[in-house]
Amino acid sequence: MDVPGIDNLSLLWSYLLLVIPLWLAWKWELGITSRALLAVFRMTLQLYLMGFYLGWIFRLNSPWLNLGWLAVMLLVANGAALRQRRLSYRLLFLPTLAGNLLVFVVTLGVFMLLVVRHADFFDARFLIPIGGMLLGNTMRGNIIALEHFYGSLRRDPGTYVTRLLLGATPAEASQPYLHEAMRLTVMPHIASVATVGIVSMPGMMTGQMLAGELPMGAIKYQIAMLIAVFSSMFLAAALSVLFSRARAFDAYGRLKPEVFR
Amino acid sequence: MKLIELEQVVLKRGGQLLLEEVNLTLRAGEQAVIRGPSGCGKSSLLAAVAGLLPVDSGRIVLAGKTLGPDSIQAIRGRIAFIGQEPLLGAETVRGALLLPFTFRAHRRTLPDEARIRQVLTELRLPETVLERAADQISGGEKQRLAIARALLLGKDIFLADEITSALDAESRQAVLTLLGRPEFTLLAVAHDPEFITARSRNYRVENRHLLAEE
Repeated sequence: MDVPGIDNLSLLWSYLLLVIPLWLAWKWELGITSRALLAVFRMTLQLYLMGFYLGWIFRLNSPWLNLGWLAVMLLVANGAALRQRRLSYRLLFLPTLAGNLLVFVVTLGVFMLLVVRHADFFDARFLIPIGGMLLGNTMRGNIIALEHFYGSLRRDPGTYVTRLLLGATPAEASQPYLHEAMRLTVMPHIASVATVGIVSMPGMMTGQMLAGELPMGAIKYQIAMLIAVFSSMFLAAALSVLFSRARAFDAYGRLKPEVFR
Repeated sequence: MKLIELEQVVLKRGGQLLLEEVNLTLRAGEQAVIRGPSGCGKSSLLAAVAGLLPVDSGRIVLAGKTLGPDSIQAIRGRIAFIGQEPLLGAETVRGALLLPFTFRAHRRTLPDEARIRQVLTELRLPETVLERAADQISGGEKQRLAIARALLLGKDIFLADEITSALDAESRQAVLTLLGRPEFTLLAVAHDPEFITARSRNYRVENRHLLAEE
């Protein structure tokens, strides 16, 4: 079954759906109209650019180019997580990158080798979208975990200091903060996984069905992807915190002020 | 034996000078009480002695060890820092008392029930307090439990920051009696007149200096 294409004019009609919500936001003086318009503009531009460069990458389908593109995505995602939470690149970029890279390589490798089992491991048509989905969710998890771990240590250091003065190492003293950060990182994903198929129809299976895949085929991809996303989000967030923690405290166990930009 | 020595200590916070030329020596069993206006650096000085704040210059020596990265674990093994609102850090009182023994540094010195009961008795706490939820404990009981935890860890140097200001009479008496024992060395920040005894050496902070009172 051919997927009916959307030409630019058809796409423009979809922007009509924005008219009523933006008008209401303006009328109710919510203060978000210009931000929403800017976000839609940026989204359109970014996705068009992505369409161009991904189209080019897919046409070339060079293994080195595909891996290079994934590396760029990983570096950008890693930096974005730190930038969003105003955390130090100098102290935390390399250890969080190490954690994210390790988990990304293992999860993507398992998914491509054992789940997709496509003859060409480096085929851009599979490697980049799947890698992109994993990285996008990993970045979200990193943002939440790093913000809660370091933010809580700064806002509410009492538990940390109490434990430190009772003989805990910085790792032992910060354990409650790590546990809470991990709970907050994965709970939204657990909640959405629990309702998928009842409340929501995820994007991956939607796209596959639009492309002609039968539902039973599409859901298998979706199940595998949801599991891979949960695993990579959890493990990448945990390793980002654990690896960065080693550089975030000084020799006295004090959180370095320069962790925060 | 000198247990606490501060030599020409200078403290800054946020680039501002808090305290300078702080000199103080406490021998085993001695007590010192520091008074001064709010924000003058008394609590920061205690925090610096516990290694929680950096000193700008000068030297802090505890039990013969100069405060530094190599000695900080050993020093914290000797000192107990008791603040105005101690955090118990566990869901039950028993869990709070045994919390330090879950850390690698103390795993091999877990106290037995008899020792726990003995310490509770010294602090005039009933044994039934062990099974209570930590969030149902009063401020005074928290203070005494924080001290009980220090006793279970065998600590003998106490840094106390305004610990009696919010206590009822019974709790205050129990705490003062215990901390006043000759086997403990005490450096305290306090405005409570009952803290200042015939045994204690008294200091006040004035113009960023620590001055001994006669």
